Amino acid sequence: MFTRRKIEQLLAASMYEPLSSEEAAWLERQLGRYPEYRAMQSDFRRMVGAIPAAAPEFSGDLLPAVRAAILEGPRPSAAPAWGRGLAGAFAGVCVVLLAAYVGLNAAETARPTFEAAGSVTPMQRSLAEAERLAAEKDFTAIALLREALARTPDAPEAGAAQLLLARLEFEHGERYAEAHEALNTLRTQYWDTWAAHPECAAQFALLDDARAEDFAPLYALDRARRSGSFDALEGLAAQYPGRLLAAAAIDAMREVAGGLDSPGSAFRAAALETVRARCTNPITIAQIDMQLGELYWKGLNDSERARSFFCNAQRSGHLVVAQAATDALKVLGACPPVAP
Amino acid sequence: MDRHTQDDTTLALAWKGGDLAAYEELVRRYQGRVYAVAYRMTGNREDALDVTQEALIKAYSRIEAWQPTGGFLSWLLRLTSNQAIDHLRRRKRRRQEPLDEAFVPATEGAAVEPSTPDVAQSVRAREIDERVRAALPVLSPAQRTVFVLRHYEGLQLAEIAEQMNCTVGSVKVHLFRALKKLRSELKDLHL
Repeated sequence: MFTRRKIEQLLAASMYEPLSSEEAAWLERQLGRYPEYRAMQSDFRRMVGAIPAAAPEFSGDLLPAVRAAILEGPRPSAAPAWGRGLAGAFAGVCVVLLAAYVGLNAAETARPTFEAAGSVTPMQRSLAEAERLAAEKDFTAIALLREALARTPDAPEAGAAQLLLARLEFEHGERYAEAHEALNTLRTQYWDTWAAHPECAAQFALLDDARAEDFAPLYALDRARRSGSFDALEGLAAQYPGRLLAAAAIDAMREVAGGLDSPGSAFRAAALETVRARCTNPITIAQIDMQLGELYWKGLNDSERARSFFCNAQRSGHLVVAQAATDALKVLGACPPVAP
Repeated sequence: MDRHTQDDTTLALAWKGGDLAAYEELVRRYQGRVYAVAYRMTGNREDALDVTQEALIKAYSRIEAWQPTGGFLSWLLRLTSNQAIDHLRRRKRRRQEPLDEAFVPATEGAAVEPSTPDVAQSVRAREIDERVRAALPVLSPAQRTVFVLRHYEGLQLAEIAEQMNCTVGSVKVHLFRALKKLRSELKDLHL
């Protein structure tokens, strides 16, 4: 029974991939003993060789239809840009969270290309004026943009106007509901602009994460950041474990701790370890361990170090964090036993 | 940032991190391959297009399930084959479903024999292709998936095993049984 099964496995595999010399020799011996398998080998070879493998012709582009379906349908429960899953709170999205939280960089805002002098459209005029006001932190720009978008929502620069509106609503600091709405409009009606600014997705994810509580966690984060209190931020991270808000709080802790603010996994890891050394709350420490695990694993290719951090997180006892650590360890391998 | 030069893993990681432009680049890059698997699994163009779109949308929401330790394309094609199987179950297709018209041989019903060896070879290849497409529904979903991914898409058996979350031995067993059934279905072709 076992022999026949092995013959069949090797016979099938040999049609497409080379066998080792031992396997090939073993199979050849068995084919000598079982002529029905020898006949099968011959038939399989002819058949596999005769079945055309050419790909069916595909001309066209399904991307517009896919894009439309994604926008129209219910938002996926594990949407990558919005990080609802635990992985979103711990993985690479953290990198952009602080940038998203403090607001979109003015330099990133799409600049409209104006027609030749003398043919400026109303939208272009409104956008230029709004940008001037925004540079002076004058939030009357918000009303100006809303009017312009209501008038000509299909203007070529409407996406840029919507993007600026979303940024201003967010930076205003007390209009998170409006910011959420503005970003949602950008996402559903100005896809090209949305897709060109991935920080929008991160910002939207953060807002969405706090929406169920009327954005109260984000306002708490605001206060903690303004106070510059490491302890307050640590407390917030512990209060909302596994959520994007916690990741944003940890990012803010890195700022307060004076951690290096340079790009690259090595710098981020060093900054996080500085923050970790200063923390006292075990739930916050466990979340930082998860972030460090992800950085060492996917950013620095150091599986051993990554596993060590995931094991710490798994042992934290906090259900949400421990489960995320367990998922990561399924790939990296189980933790060594703890010495008594 | 020139997405066209970035490798799959880089793009998929960016997509996981929220970069939707990376997702779009991967769609442009592989929608043809996804369609090919969908076509082989369903046997007709209309269902294949539906499955392709469904698979790409599902991939969008399931990217968190992909790990960089595994190949992105093999993950995507496996997701596609699953989607095709689900699609067929929902449509409750019968084995006797008519073949896709686009692949009816040009010489079907013609009274004149093909005039050159190349044409004869082409006609023969199309005949075999149609018969295989008609025979694939005889295979179990696992057998069909393994055969399509190995024979048509060229995935290694180890890759297929990883995506199907089973041992390489099991994949080989599925492949053997697929080949054996196809051998039976195609024996009148005298290959």
